[in-house]
Amino acid sequence: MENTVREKRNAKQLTQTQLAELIGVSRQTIFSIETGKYVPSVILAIKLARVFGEPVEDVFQLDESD
Amino acid sequence: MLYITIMEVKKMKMLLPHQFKTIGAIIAPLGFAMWTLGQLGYVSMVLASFGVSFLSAESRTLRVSFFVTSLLSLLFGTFFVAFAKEKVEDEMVQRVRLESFMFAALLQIVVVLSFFVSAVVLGEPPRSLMELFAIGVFLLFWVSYVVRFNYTLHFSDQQWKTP
Repeated sequence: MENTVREKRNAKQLTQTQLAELIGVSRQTIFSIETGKYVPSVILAIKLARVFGEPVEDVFQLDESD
Repeated sequence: MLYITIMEVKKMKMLLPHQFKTIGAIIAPLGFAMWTLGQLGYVSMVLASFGVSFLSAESRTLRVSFFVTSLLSLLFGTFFVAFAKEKVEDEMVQRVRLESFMFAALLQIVVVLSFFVSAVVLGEPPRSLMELFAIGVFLLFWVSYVVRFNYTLHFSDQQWKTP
């Protein structure tokens, strides 16, 4: 799965720590999501999309292998 | 009953406060060191230096107390580290925790099967080795779980720590 979390976070001028605090996870989790090492749950994905004010599909996309 | 237990585990209500991790990280290696020193005979040497005969009932009581204390220290310390919450217990930590449990279970199965196969091929091992193996394989599960869990979270991929 691909995502644009880092780009959208930077557009909102949020640090990883700030984003993590907003959705109630650790900074390590945000980093792991941004680098594609961790695929978040539906709940976490929706929370992220809400912070960015965008649909979930604009933040997370399926790739060929999914 | 099983469903309630699973839900409680899912919500991580069965985990200890984070402070227990530090306590466990201190008493577990301390217990292991004590047990090792006891196995190497240093306890008996120390007692002998105080004039306590090895064969006396007093010596036996002290040695047994020392071994029990060291083993309990190691066991409780390992459990504290294994069941202590992380500072932020989120879904990623829970997944790493589950994967680490599976890894530890698989490793334990492989070791146990290997031991039994070797016993069949090479013959029954001495009783003392069997007892040591029983303790060791039990600890192997928890130690491998703790090592894998903490390595995955804190040591693999240090990039996330750079601001």
